[in-house]
This record gives sequence, structure tokens and C-alpha cells, in this order.
Amino acid sequence: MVTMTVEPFASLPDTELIDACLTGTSQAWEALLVRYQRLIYSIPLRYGLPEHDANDIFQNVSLLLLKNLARLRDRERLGAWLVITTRRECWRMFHHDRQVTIHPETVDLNEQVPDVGHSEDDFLALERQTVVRAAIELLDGPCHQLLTQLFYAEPRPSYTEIAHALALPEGSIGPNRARCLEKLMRILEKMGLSES
Amino acid sequence: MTHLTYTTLLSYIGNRLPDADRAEIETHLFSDSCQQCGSKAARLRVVLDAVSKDRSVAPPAAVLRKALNVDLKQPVSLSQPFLQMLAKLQFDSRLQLSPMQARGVAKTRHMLFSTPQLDIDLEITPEHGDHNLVGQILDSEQADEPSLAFVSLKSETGEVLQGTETDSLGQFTFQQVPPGVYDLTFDLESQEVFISSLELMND
Repeated sequence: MVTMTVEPFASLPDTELIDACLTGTSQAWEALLVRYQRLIYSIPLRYGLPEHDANDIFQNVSLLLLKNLARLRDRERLGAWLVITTRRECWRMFHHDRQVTIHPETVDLNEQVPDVGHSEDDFLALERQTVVRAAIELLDGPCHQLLTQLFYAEPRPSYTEIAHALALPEGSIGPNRARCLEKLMRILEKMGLSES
Repeated sequence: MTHLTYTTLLSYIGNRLPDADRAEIETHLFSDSCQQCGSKAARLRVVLDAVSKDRSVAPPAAVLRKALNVDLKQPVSLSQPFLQMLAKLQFDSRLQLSPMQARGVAKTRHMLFSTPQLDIDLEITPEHGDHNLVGQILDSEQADEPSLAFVSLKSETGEVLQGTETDSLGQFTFQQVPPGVYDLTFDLESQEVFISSLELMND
């Protein structure tokens, strides 16, 4: 018996992943959820909801995604669908579970929910960040380590520190960065990242 | 000039090139209008911008594992039926000509569509031969949550031409829509509402 792994699915565009999910391929579902996990989970935290609420919202949104997979009309806009669905769940959690009274004349989320400053553009940016991060996870070991160090390590290390940590000559960091970015761009192209 | 490598583009975007090299690249990108390199540079900027601002958080492993642990082959029951509904035109300022429009003062066309659950207010303003659409979804039942929706502007053949989301007040905008006949689709949580055969014509 041949066991399928997640890897072949992880770089597929959303539309193909959804098709594979609908045929009951659990690896495709895993790839899809792993790709968007940060997007879904970060939104409630940005609204100031506590971690246990974010955990519940993550489960709710995952279930809603599963329920709606077959009827998603604009499959290439899955990220945007997840943003709006997660926001709905956040609002529901905030307004209903906590019995907060909302004033219809000021139905502005920013006035009703503890706000850390966000706009529609922030959610679009979050969607992109999530997809780029998911693509970086698909890079081979050395490139994955290098770009993770360069882009996500906190505090941001110097080239000298990265060279030391990855046992690379310091002078090779720049050329390797370009080479790894090129690989990343190829993965993102396959995943369907647009330039706009 | 040959096409630009990622190394060159990274140096260009990072402002690490001498002026002469920079000028040569800009000639290639903008004067020669190399689409391939322009597109490559734009995508690279998107990625570099994304990683520099990324403060996203991953869920705990157990939370992810729980969400992954579903049987895709079991049909998932839907808690609510999914409704598809055609919104009915209630008001069109073009059909009910106001004194302002009669004098040619008001350019903006106002339309109101409704379903039993919600009203959709549309304002269509011509601009340079195209039209700008500004709308708002208003909940008929004064629900305590704004109507969040995906709004798609479609051709008569069903092709999605533009898409947007409503903001926290239920508002949405489509800019510079050419004259034509369109359908608008509002994808709400448990229902889909259509406005069919919306004509955007220049007078």
C-alpha cells in the first residue's frame, strides 16, 4: 500500500487543494489548513481576544471551511473568505458570548472590540504574510533555515551571527539569500501569489 | 540588456547599487518596459514587504491537530440551510426622476434592492466614461452585527470581474467599471444574494 504524504500537496494552488479535499484526501486538507493556520489564528489575537477564544475560533473556522468547501464560488479567493469568516467568528464570540451591548448607530468594530489598530489592508497583508510563510516552510533545509533566520528570527541576527549558526562563510549569505529567494519565488508562483 | 537576476533585483530594491547601475536597471524596467522583469520585481517587493511585517502567530500544535483530525469522507452536516435569493428592486432614481435630475444637476443614480433579510443601497456615479459603484448592505432586522459579505461583480456570463469585501459598516466600492450589464453577488454567511442585470450605461 502506498502512503501519501503532505508534501506533494503543500505547493499546489488553493483551487487544486480544494479539489483534492473534496475527493476526501486528508493530506490536502492538512496542507490547506497548515497554509492558512496563521491567518486564522492571528485574527482573534489581533482583536485582543485571549488565547482560549482564539483556539475556539480556530476550530470553528476550520469546521466552517470544511462545511463550505464544496460551495466556495471564488476558490482563488480562499484567503479573503477565511479573513471574513474568522472576523465574523470573532465578532460573534465578542458580542454574543460576552453579552456586550452594541449600539446600532455606531456599528463599527473598532468601537466595539478591544482594538490594536487594523484595517482592511492589514488583513490583506496578513493573508500574504501567511502564504509567504507557508511557502518558506516548503523550502529545502538550508534555504528554509537561512530565510527563517533572515526574516523571522527575533531579535534579528547579523550576517555574522547567521553565518556562525548555519556554519556558512559570512560572504556566502548574500548570494545564498538571492538563490533561496529565487526558489521561494518559484514556489509562490506555483501557489498562485499575485503581484498586486 | 538581459533579464535581471534576483541578485540584481535584491540589490536594486535594497538601494545597494551605484547610481549608474541603478539607472540602467530603471531604463530596462520602465523605459524598455520589460514586463517579465517588472513583474518579477513587483512580486519580490510583495514578498519582502510581507516578511518584514509578519507578526502572525501559529496556533498551538494541539489546536491544529484537533482541526486536522476530521474525516473528510464523512458528509458534514450544515447547521443552517444555504439560501440563494434574488434582491428585488425597490427604488431607482433613474425611473423616478427627481427635479434635480430633470435639471441635469444630479449625476449619481441611487438604487435600493431588498430581500426579506436585508436592503442593498447602491449609488452609481459616472466618471470619465466609466462608473463608480458605492454600496451598503443594511440589515432589515437591525441585527447587532454588520453584514459582512464578499461582493463580486460579474459579467452576464458569470465571470468574476472584480471582488471586494464589505467593511465593518457593510459598505463596498467598485471603481471604474466600464459601461455594460452586470450581476452583483453578495456572499453572506448563510445566504447568497444576487442583483441581476444591472445596467451601467452612459447617457
